[in-house]
Amino acid sequence: MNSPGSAVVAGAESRTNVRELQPPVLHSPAPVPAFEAKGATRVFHGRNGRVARAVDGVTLKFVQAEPAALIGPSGAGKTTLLRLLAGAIAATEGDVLFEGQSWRSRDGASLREARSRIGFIAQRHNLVDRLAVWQNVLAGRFGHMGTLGAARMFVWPAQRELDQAADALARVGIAELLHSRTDELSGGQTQRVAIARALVQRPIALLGDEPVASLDPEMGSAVLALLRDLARTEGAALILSLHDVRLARAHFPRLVGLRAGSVQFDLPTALVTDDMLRDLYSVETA
Amino acid sequence: MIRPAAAGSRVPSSAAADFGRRLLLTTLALGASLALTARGAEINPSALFSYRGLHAVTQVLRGLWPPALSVEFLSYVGPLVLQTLALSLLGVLLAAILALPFIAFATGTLTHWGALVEMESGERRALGRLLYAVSRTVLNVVRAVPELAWAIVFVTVVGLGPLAGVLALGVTYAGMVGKVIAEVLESVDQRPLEALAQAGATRAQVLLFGILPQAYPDAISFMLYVWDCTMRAAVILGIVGAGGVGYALLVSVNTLAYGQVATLLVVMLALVALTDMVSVAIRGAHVLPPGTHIAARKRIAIPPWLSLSVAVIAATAAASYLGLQPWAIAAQQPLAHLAAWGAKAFPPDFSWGFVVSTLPAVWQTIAMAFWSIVLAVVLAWPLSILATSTVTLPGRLLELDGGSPLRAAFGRALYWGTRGLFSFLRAVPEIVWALLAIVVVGPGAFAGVLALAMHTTGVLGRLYADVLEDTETRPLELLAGAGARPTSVWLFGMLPAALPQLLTHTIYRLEMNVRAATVVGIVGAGGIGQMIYNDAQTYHYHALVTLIIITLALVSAADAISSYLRRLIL
Repeated sequence: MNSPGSAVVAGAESRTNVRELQPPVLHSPAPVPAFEAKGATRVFHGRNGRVARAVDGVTLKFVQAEPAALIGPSGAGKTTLLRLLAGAIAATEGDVLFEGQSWRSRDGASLREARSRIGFIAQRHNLVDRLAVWQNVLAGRFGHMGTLGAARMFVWPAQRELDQAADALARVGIAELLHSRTDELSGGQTQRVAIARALVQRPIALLGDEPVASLDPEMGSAVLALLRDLARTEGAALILSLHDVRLARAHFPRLVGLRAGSVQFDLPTALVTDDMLRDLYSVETA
Repeated sequence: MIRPAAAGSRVPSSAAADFGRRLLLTTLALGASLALTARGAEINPSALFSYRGLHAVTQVLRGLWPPALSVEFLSYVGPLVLQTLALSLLGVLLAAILALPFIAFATGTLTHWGALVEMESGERRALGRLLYAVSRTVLNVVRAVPELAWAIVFVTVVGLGPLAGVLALGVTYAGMVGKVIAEVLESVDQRPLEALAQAGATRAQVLLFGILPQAYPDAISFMLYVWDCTMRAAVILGIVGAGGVGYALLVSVNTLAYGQVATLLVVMLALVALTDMVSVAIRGAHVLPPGTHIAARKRIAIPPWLSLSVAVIAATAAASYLGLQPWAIAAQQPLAHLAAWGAKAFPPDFSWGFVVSTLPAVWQTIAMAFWSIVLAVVLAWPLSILATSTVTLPGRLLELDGGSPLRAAFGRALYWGTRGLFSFLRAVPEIVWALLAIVVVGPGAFAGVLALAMHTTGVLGRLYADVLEDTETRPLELLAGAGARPTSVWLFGMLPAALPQLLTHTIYRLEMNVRAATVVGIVGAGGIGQMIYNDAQTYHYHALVTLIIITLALVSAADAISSYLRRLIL
């Protein structure tokens, strides 16, 4: 693939460093899926007693080596499913597993430890506006340090830590923004900072909820290529939700079609037909 | 039952009848309540409108001029002014320090609700809910007791002097700071916080590096507003011997030196106005009516290190001026005093006989609050129309200038005159009005009613005028264009549109007046404050603690009733 991101990645030197710390999931004989949803259901209680089943009995497996895109109309439950997988919210029924262990069985420190190994990029509002870019990036290390350590890092960062932030920013192509204030960035730059923070986490999985929705098409395509490259070089699982089907088809080998909280199809991209997509997005008035 | 066919013709007349009936019922209920509480409030118009009363009023007014400006007096007042300033500064800082441990636990998004705690186990969230409930309760309790009542308590603990005042300000405003800052922390954008938590951050890390950076401008702005409040309180603390310029005022009133009273009033008003101006200038915001706490929408451009160093320098300067450096405080052995005081004060006196003996004072407090608010409404309503720019200022709604510059000048004079009157009335604290009212009508609840009514007229008059100015002017222009007289425009155009808001402000004020009515008794103007002061003076600490608890219950009840009524209106 010829993408602007790959050149940057090739130049990064700390990559080997990061990879040494990865658990050797790819080479284990019977790989445990990175994420597994077993009949996962999430119910939201709205005002005046309305009940919405945002995700309804979803059963899916995601492994490290196979990037997947979640597609489907607005309100299909893509965001909720991603948040369930990432352990941001709890399943009302069914179960969601990360590395073979249910999110339910995690609490406190073990919850934070598991989360710290997942890089999550939201559509917008990932960053704390009033901080510097390097502070937002280094926040990715919070999972590995106590509160005092974090305070020390934010007031007197070690050169090693600044280098780490600079390196992550270099890999997403915005090394020059290290000392900028976050609320001065453009939308595309903000998303790249969010990705840089995810990289600092040394994640074994990258999840993204419409990570390119706030970007123009060209920039969106570049960011997607970057994420794919990063996932490949880090050996991390990659699951993104995308509303742009063309982008999903162009960048992902596996597509999961969601509609009304349920899985409509889960196929290699080559097998997804235009008819299936038309059905997925059709406006039915049953 | 109204049949659908007849509905069109019936509904308006029945609605009118309904309105009439409600008006009648309200009037009757109000009249009955006034009659019922008149004896409790010791309402006695003849004390005011007799030869003696009016003579005393003119006596005071004549005595105010000329103000005392002798070098001797001014060199006595000067240090007290500095002391008041130092008190107010240390008060804010102590409030912030005392509130700090409670703030994180009083922030619901960190303890038991919202996305940050969604994945935590049930037990952890139950613990969070408990910590939240405890912190919020502590903050509410210390906030409900008026600062003058706290000051009396602390004077009995650490003795007369500014230390008692600083403690009283710190404790009272810690409640306010804790509650409001916790709400500021709850209201920041949650999405970056979720992203931090998702990256594995602990809640302490989320608080320090996600919430605080976002909340910083509002928090600083609010602390400036609190300084404004502590200054208003600091000018009167001296009345109970807790430091500051209030002590001089008490002495001057008691020695009938009204020239000195005039000087001191000007000094007090200037202190409050200056604080207000500085605070507003930094916040870049206008003063909002009480109840709306966070008055900042402008971005505060002060970096954290600067505000921290200013706070440290101010604290050090204020503490050394008051002789309250840490070692000086330690030398006073406050903990030993507290232990000795606790031994004398606990358990509180909950004997049947004593509790029953407080009931008349409790009833008197309620009666005073009620009568004062009714009096204030009666005074503020007609006055507020004159302070409504759309009514009295020329070139506005009613075209009062009508070509005649004389009428235009008259309108301007009315507007600025009433606005100025309101500012003066509300700038003088209730307790100072109480000192003056006692000179005129003698000690007792009636003096308290007059004092509360004076202050409240200033507050409500200004609020009413602001609300009336904000009413939609289009329908009013139509009314005026149709030749309606100003009074008709006010009665039929403005009043109906503004009524819910006017009532809301009035009910909120009722709550504030209950709070104020519990302390005006300290100078002899009736209510439970009189018992509080007497028991503190006579070392009846068991009874003192009981009275503080009763005050707390009274204010909390008023708070609950007032927020229930306000919800009913909105």
